[in-house]
Amino acid sequence: MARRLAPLVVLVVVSLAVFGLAEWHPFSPSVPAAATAPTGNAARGAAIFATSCAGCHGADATGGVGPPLRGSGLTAVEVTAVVASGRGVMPAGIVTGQDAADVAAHVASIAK
Amino acid sequence: MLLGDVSSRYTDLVETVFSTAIAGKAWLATGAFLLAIVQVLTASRMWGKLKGVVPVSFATSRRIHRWSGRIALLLTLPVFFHCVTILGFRTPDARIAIHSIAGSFVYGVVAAKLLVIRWKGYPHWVLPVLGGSLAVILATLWLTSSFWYFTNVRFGF
Repeated sequence: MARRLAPLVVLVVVSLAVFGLAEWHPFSPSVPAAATAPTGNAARGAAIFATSCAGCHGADATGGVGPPLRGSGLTAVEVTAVVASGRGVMPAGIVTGQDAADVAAHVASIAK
Repeated sequence: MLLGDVSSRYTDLVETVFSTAIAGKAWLATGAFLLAIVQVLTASRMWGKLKGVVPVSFATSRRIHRWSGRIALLLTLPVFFHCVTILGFRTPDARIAIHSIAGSFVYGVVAAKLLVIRWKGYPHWVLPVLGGSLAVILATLWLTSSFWYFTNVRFGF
């Protein structure tokens, strides 16, 4: 009987282990502190935005599936935090590192 | 090394091949999904179905089934690392909730299927049910991630 139930037990245990690890997500990047403003290149960020962000936020950043960013008043720090952690349907880390800083600089420049 | 550095190093590594880590994940998952289709076709052939669709012998089907399964499993490992250890279980909307729930079961079903293959004596319907469930879960995961990414964000490497 125990042998017959073994696959079910294995299925449940492994699935719960994966769920537990996903709840922990130990390698999730920490959101940068508000005082730490990223240093990005807005011109380079515009090119990255066109390939990685425009699909949802619109080519001119006036919105689409995602909210409008142009004129939104977002700062580079706020954009960096959302890019790192995701929001709504937007996955976390869609761009990372210097690319994220550059996109943040671009979005901040058009959000004013 | 800080835990957050692992994430950065992983994304840097993936971005040596793909434009972003998300794009890399979408393509690796697509590879695994395509191999899952191969898995379904070859499994059907091994069970005496689809002989006209899969015109290969039982032995060839078995070999293709095993290797496509191994490669598919390898392709899912970076996806697992990114989804589970970096992004985590999230439920901000229906798509991500379905993806998170289905994703929790993938390796559980894989482990159960491998156990049933190794240990003989289970009812004959158990293996196809597990294999079919795995294919449905992988299709659900692909539709709620890679397909969404390709159609809503960007179709490219």
